[in-house]
Amino acid sequence: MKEGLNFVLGVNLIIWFGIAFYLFILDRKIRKLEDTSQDIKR
Amino acid sequence: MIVKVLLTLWMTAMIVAAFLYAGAAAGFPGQTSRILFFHVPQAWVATLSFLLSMVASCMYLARRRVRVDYVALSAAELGLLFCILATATGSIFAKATWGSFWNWDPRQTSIVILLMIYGAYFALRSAVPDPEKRRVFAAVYSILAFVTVPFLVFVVPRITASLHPEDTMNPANPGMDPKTLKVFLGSLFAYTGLFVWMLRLKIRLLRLEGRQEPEFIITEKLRQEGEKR
Repeated sequence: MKEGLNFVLGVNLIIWFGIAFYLFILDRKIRKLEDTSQDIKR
Repeated sequence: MIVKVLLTLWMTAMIVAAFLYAGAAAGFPGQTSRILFFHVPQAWVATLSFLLSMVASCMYLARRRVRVDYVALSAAELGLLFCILATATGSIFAKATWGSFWNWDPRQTSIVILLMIYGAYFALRSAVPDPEKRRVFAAVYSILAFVTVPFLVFVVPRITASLHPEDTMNPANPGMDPKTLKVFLGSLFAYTGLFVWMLRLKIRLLRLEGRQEPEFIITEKLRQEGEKR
Protein backbone atom coordinates (compact mmCIF):
# COMPACT_ATOMS: atom_id res chain seq x y z
CA MET A 1 0.00 0.00 0.00
CA LYS A 2 2.85 2.34 0.91
CA GLU A 3 4.40 1.84 -2.55
CA GLY A 4 1.11 2.74 -4.22
CA LEU A 5 0.84 5.83 -2.05
CA ASN A 6 4.37 6.95 -2.96
CA PHE A 7 3.54 6.47 -6.64
CA VAL A 8 0.41 8.68 -6.39
CA LEU A 9 2.41 11.25 -4.41
CA GLY A 10 5.06 11.28 -7.17
CA VAL A 11 2.46 11.72 -9.90
CA ASN A 12 0.83 14.54 -7.92
CA LEU A 13 4.14 16.31 -7.46
CA ILE A 14 5.04 16.00 -11.15
CA ILE A 15 1.64 17.46 -12.15
CA TRP A 16 1.99 20.30 -9.63
CA PHE A 17 5.54 21.18 -10.75
CA GLY A 18 4.30 21.17 -14.35
CA ILE A 19 1.49 23.59 -13.49
CA ALA A 20 3.81 25.83 -11.43
CA PHE A 21 6.42 25.88 -14.21
CA TYR A 22 3.74 26.80 -16.77
CA LEU A 23 2.44 29.60 -14.54
CA PHE A 24 5.94 31.04 -14.05
CA ILE A 25 6.59 30.99 -17.81
CA LEU A 26 3.19 32.57 -18.50
CA ASP A 27 3.86 35.25 -15.88
CA ARG A 28 7.18 36.10 -17.54
CA LYS A 29 5.68 36.22 -21.03
CA ILE A 30 2.82 38.48 -19.91
CA ARG A 31 5.31 40.81 -18.17
CA LYS A 32 7.36 41.06 -21.37
CA LEU A 33 4.22 41.86 -23.40
CA GLU A 34 3.20 44.47 -20.82
CA ASP A 35 6.64 46.09 -21.04
CA THR A 36 6.48 46.13 -24.88
CA SER A 37 2.99 47.60 -24.74
CA GLN A 38 4.20 50.34 -22.34
CA ASP A 39 7.10 51.19 -24.71
CA ILE A 40 4.71 51.56 -27.67
CA LYS A 41 2.46 53.83 -25.59
CA ARG A 42 5.44 56.06 -24.75
CA MET B 1 8.10 36.82 -7.25
CA ILE B 2 9.00 35.75 -3.69
CA VAL B 3 5.31 35.24 -2.88
CA LYS B 4 4.91 33.00 -5.94
CA VAL B 5 7.98 30.91 -5.03
CA LEU B 6 6.69 30.61 -1.45
CA LEU B 7 3.28 29.55 -2.73
CA THR B 8 4.90 26.90 -4.96
CA LEU B 9 6.84 25.55 -1.98
CA TRP B 10 3.75 25.69 0.27
CA MET B 11 1.66 23.72 -2.24
CA THR B 12 4.51 21.17 -2.59
CA ALA B 13 4.63 20.79 1.19
CA MET B 14 0.85 20.33 1.33
CA ILE B 15 0.94 17.60 -1.34
CA VAL B 16 3.70 15.75 0.55
CA ALA B 17 1.85 16.23 3.88
CA ALA B 18 -1.42 15.00 2.37
CA PHE B 19 0.24 11.65 1.59
CA LEU B 20 2.89 11.24 4.27
CA TYR B 21 1.87 13.31 7.32
CA ALA B 22 -1.93 12.98 7.59
CA GLY B 23 -3.35 9.52 8.18
CA ALA B 24 -6.15 7.87 6.25
CA ALA B 25 -9.56 8.46 7.87
CA ALA B 26 -11.49 5.56 9.32
CA GLY B 27 -14.69 4.53 7.56
CA PHE B 28 -13.33 4.96 4.04
CA PRO B 29 -11.87 2.19 1.87
CA GLY B 30 -8.06 2.21 1.76
CA GLN B 31 -6.49 5.63 1.28
CA THR B 32 -9.48 7.23 -0.50
CA SER B 33 -10.11 9.77 2.27
CA ARG B 34 -6.95 11.65 1.22
CA ILE B 35 -8.95 13.11 -1.67
CA LEU B 36 -10.33 15.52 0.94
CA PHE B 37 -7.11 17.61 0.68
CA PHE B 38 -7.65 18.22 -3.04
CA HIS B 39 -11.35 17.84 -3.83
CA VAL B 40 -12.79 20.10 -1.09
CA PRO B 41 -10.35 23.03 -1.71
CA GLN B 42 -11.19 22.81 -5.45
CA ALA B 43 -14.91 23.03 -4.67
CA TRP B 44 -14.21 25.90 -2.24
CA VAL B 45 -12.21 27.84 -4.85
CA ALA B 46 -14.97 27.26 -7.45
CA THR B 47 -17.59 28.73 -5.09
CA LEU B 48 -15.27 31.63 -4.22
CA SER B 49 -14.71 32.35 -7.94
CA PHE B 50 -18.42 32.40 -8.71
CA LEU B 51 -18.99 34.74 -5.75
CA LEU B 52 -16.22 37.05 -6.96
CA SER B 53 -17.64 37.00 -10.49
CA MET B 54 -21.04 38.02 -9.13
CA VAL B 55 -19.58 40.85 -6.98
CA ALA B 56 -17.52 42.16 -9.94
CA SER B 57 -20.61 41.97 -12.18
CA CYS B 58 -22.59 44.08 -9.68
CA MET B 59 -19.72 46.59 -9.63
CA TYR B 60 -19.59 46.64 -13.43
CA LEU B 61 -23.31 47.42 -13.67
CA ALA B 62 -22.86 50.23 -11.14
CA ARG B 63 -19.68 51.82 -12.58
CA ARG B 64 -19.30 50.46 -16.14
CA ARG B 65 -15.52 49.98 -15.83
CA VAL B 66 -14.05 47.49 -18.33
CA ARG B 67 -11.40 46.40 -15.80
CA VAL B 68 -14.12 45.18 -13.45
CA ASP B 69 -15.62 43.13 -16.28
CA TYR B 70 -12.18 41.51 -16.74
CA VAL B 71 -12.33 40.42 -13.07
CA ALA B 72 -15.86 39.00 -13.54
CA LEU B 73 -14.86 37.08 -16.67
CA SER B 74 -11.59 35.76 -15.21
CA ALA B 75 -13.30 34.65 -12.00
CA ALA B 76 -16.07 32.87 -13.93
CA GLU B 77 -13.47 31.07 -16.10
CA LEU B 78 -11.47 29.91 -13.10
CA GLY B 79 -14.68 28.96 -11.29
CA LEU B 80 -15.62 26.72 -14.18
CA LEU B 81 -12.09 25.22 -14.30
CA PHE B 82 -12.05 24.39 -10.57
CA CYS B 83 -15.64 23.12 -10.78
CA ILE B 84 -14.55 20.68 -13.53
CA LEU B 85 -11.56 19.61 -11.39
CA ALA B 86 -13.84 19.06 -8.37
CA THR B 87 -16.20 17.00 -10.54
CA ALA B 88 -13.32 14.89 -11.90
CA THR B 89 -11.74 14.23 -8.48
CA GLY B 90 -15.18 13.53 -6.98
CA SER B 91 -15.82 11.07 -9.75
CA ILE B 92 -12.55 9.21 -9.02
CA PHE B 93 -13.61 9.01 -5.36
CA ALA B 94 -17.04 7.71 -6.46
CA LYS B 95 -15.38 4.93 -8.46
CA ALA B 96 -13.26 3.86 -5.48
CA THR B 97 -16.05 3.99 -2.89
CA TRP B 98 -19.39 3.60 -4.67
CA GLY B 99 -18.25 1.38 -7.53
CA SER B 100 -18.79 3.60 -10.56
CA PHE B 101 -17.56 6.97 -11.77
CA TRP B 102 -21.06 8.40 -12.15
CA ASN B 103 -24.14 7.57 -10.05
CA TRP B 104 -26.40 10.62 -10.55
CA ASP B 105 -26.08 11.27 -6.84
CA PRO B 106 -27.68 14.64 -5.81
CA ARG B 107 -24.16 16.14 -5.43
CA GLN B 108 -23.12 14.98 -8.88
CA THR B 109 -26.38 16.10 -10.47
CA SER B 110 -26.24 19.55 -8.86
CA ILE B 111 -22.61 20.08 -9.95
CA VAL B 112 -23.52 19.14 -13.55
CA ILE B 113 -26.35 21.73 -13.48
CA LEU B 114 -23.86 24.28 -12.11
CA LEU B 115 -21.38 23.47 -14.89
CA MET B 116 -24.12 23.94 -17.51
CA ILE B 117 -25.25 27.25 -15.98
CA TYR B 118 -21.71 28.66 -16.08
CA GLY B 119 -21.04 27.09 -19.48
CA ALA B 120 -23.99 29.12 -20.76
CA TYR B 121 -22.29 32.28 -19.40
CA PHE B 122 -19.47 31.81 -21.94
CA ALA B 123 -21.93 30.89 -24.70
CA LEU B 124 -23.73 34.17 -23.99
CA ARG B 125 -20.49 36.16 -24.05
CA SER B 126 -19.46 34.70 -27.39
CA ALA B 127 -22.95 35.23 -28.91
CA VAL B 128 -23.10 39.03 -28.46
CA PRO B 129 -20.84 40.92 -30.89
CA ASP B 130 -21.19 44.40 -29.38
CA PRO B 131 -18.62 44.67 -26.51
CA GLU B 132 -20.70 47.03 -24.33
CA LYS B 133 -23.87 44.94 -24.67
CA ARG B 134 -21.83 41.75 -24.13
CA ARG B 135 -20.46 43.06 -20.86
CA VAL B 136 -23.89 44.18 -19.58
CA PHE B 137 -25.65 40.93 -20.54
CA ALA B 138 -22.82 38.86 -19.03
CA ALA B 139 -22.93 40.88 -15.80
CA VAL B 140 -26.70 40.42 -15.43
CA TYR B 141 -26.38 36.71 -16.24
CA SER B 142 -23.52 36.23 -13.76
CA ILE B 143 -25.63 37.75 -10.95
CA LEU B 144 -28.60 35.52 -11.84
CA ALA B 145 -26.32 32.46 -12.17
CA PHE B 146 -24.90 32.99 -8.69
CA VAL B 147 -28.40 32.91 -7.17
CA THR B 148 -28.41 29.17 -7.97
CA VAL B 149 -24.98 28.50 -6.39
CA PRO B 150 -25.99 28.38 -2.68
CA PHE B 151 -29.02 26.32 -3.64
CA LEU B 152 -27.08 23.80 -5.76
CA VAL B 153 -23.97 23.60 -3.55
CA PHE B 154 -25.45 23.78 -0.05
CA VAL B 155 -29.22 23.20 -0.11
CA VAL B 156 -29.89 20.37 -2.63
CA PRO B 157 -27.35 17.89 -1.16
CA ARG B 158 -28.78 18.46 2.33
CA ILE B 159 -32.46 18.02 1.55
CA THR B 160 -31.97 14.84 -0.46
CA ALA B 161 -30.45 11.48 0.50
CA SER B 162 -26.86 11.37 -0.79
CA LEU B 163 -23.96 8.92 -0.82
CA HIS B 164 -21.58 11.87 -0.45
CA PRO B 165 -19.67 11.91 2.89
CA GLU B 166 -20.85 14.40 5.50
CA ASP B 167 -19.52 17.93 5.32
CA THR B 168 -16.06 18.30 6.75
CA MET B 169 -16.65 21.82 8.01
CA ASN B 170 -19.93 20.96 9.73
CA PRO B 171 -19.64 22.41 13.28
CA ALA B 172 -22.20 19.88 14.52
CA ASN B 173 -19.86 17.05 13.54
CA PRO B 174 -16.33 18.12 14.59
CA GLY B 175 -14.62 14.77 14.21
CA MET B 176 -11.52 15.63 12.17
CA ASP B 177 -8.17 14.36 13.35
CA PRO B 178 -5.82 17.33 14.29
CA LYS B 179 -3.18 16.29 11.71
CA THR B 180 -5.84 15.97 9.00
CA LEU B 181 -7.32 19.34 9.97
CA LYS B 182 -3.88 21.03 9.74
CA VAL B 183 -3.20 19.65 6.25
CA PHE B 184 -6.77 20.38 5.15
CA LEU B 185 -6.62 24.05 6.22
CA GLY B 186 -3.12 24.38 4.73
CA SER B 187 -4.41 22.97 1.46
CA LEU B 188 -7.39 25.36 1.48
CA PHE B 189 -4.92 28.24 1.90
CA ALA B 190 -2.64 26.91 -0.87
CA TYR B 191 -5.52 26.51 -3.33
CA THR B 192 -6.81 30.02 -2.51
CA GLY B 193 -3.30 31.38 -3.18
CA LEU B 194 -3.12 29.48 -6.45
CA PHE B 195 -6.52 30.92 -7.42
CA VAL B 196 -5.32 34.50 -6.73
CA TRP B 197 -2.17 33.91 -8.80
CA MET B 198 -4.14 32.48 -11.75
CA LEU B 199 -6.78 35.21 -11.47
CA ARG B 200 -4.18 37.98 -11.64
CA LEU B 201 -2.53 36.34 -14.67
CA LYS B 202 -5.86 36.07 -16.49
CA ILE B 203 -6.82 39.69 -15.73
CA ARG B 204 -3.44 40.94 -17.01
CA LEU B 205 -3.87 38.84 -20.15
CA LEU B 206 -7.37 40.25 -20.77
CA ARG B 207 -6.05 43.78 -20.23
CA LEU B 208 -3.36 43.16 -22.87
CA GLU B 209 -5.93 41.73 -25.29
CA GLY B 210 -8.21 44.69 -24.56
CA ARG B 211 -5.49 47.06 -25.75
CA GLN B 212 -5.72 45.48 -29.21
CA GLU B 213 -9.47 46.14 -29.51
CA PRO B 214 -10.60 49.00 -31.80
CA GLU B 215 -12.68 50.48 -28.95
CA PHE B 216 -9.55 50.96 -26.81
CA ILE B 217 -7.37 52.25 -29.70
CA ILE B 218 -9.99 54.91 -30.64
CA THR B 219 -10.36 56.02 -27.00
CA GLU B 220 -6.55 56.20 -26.61
CA LYS B 221 -6.17 58.25 -29.83
CA LEU B 222 -8.90 60.66 -28.75
CA ARG B 223 -7.22 61.03 -25.36
CA GLN B 224 -3.81 61.67 -26.94
CA GLU B 225 -5.29 64.26 -29.33
CA GLY B 226 -6.99 65.94 -26.38
CA GLU B 227 -3.62 66.09 -24.57
CA LYS B 228 -1.90 67.69 -27.62
CA ARG B 229 -4.50 70.48 -27.74
